[in-house]
Amino acid sequence: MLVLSRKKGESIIIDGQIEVKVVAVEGEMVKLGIEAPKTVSIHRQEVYQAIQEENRAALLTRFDSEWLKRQVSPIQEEE
Amino acid sequence: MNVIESSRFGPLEYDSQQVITFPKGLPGFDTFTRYILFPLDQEQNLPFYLLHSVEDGELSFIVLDTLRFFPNYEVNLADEIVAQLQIDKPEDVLILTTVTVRGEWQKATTNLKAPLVINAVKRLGEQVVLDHSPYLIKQPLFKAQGDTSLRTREGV
Repeated sequence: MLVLSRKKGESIIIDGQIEVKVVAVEGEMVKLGIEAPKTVSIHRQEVYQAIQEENRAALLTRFDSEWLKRQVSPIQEEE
Repeated sequence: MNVIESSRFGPLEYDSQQVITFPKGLPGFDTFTRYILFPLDQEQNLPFYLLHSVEDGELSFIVLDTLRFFPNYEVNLADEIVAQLQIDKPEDVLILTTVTVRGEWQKATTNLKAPLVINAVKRLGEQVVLDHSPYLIKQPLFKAQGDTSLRTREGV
C-alpha cells in the first residue's frame, strides 16, 4: 500500500483521472472528496468487501428443487 | 451452439446471443464478464435461475427473480448506471439477486443490497451496490417463526 501524508485541502491523483482530496479533518474522522469518471464505482471498503464475501459464499449454494416445490405457499405470499 | 462444462450441472448448451456481459464483472470475480442465465425449474415456475459464467465451469450462482419474492423491492438507478447499461426504458430491466444457502434452504438469504441489474434487451449487466438503502446483504427468504415482514432495518 502506498502511504502518503496529506493536509486538509490537499489531494492525490490516481491514474491521471481520479482525484482524492482531504476535504476536512474532524477529530478522528477524515472527510474525503473524490472526483472520478462516472464509469468508476466508488464504495466504502467494508461494504465492498462484504459484497465480495457474499458473492463467494453464494457460489456454494446447491439448488434443492424438491424442497422449494414443497414451499409453494411461502413463495406465493408477498414479502 | 456453444457448451460450457458446468461443475454443477454438466454440459450446458447456449447460444452466443444469450450471453449477458457484465463489463465490470462481479465483486470478487472482476475478470469474468460473460454469463448465461438459465431458469432452474420451468415447470413449477420457481423464481430461481442459474447465472453461469461461460468462461469458467465452476463459476455459477443461484439467483432469484427478486420482485417475485419481494414485490415492493425498490432499486433506484443512478443516471450513470442507466447510461452504462444503455437502458432505454424500465421494462428492459431485469433485477436478480444472488441466493446464499449456508446449510439448509430454510435459512437461505438473498443479497438485496447489491442486485444484479441487467438490461435484458442489450444484454448488459452490473452488480449495483445500493449504498444508501436499508436493504440487507443477507435478507432471509423464508419466514422464521411467523415473521412475514420485509426487513428494512439498517443492514451493513
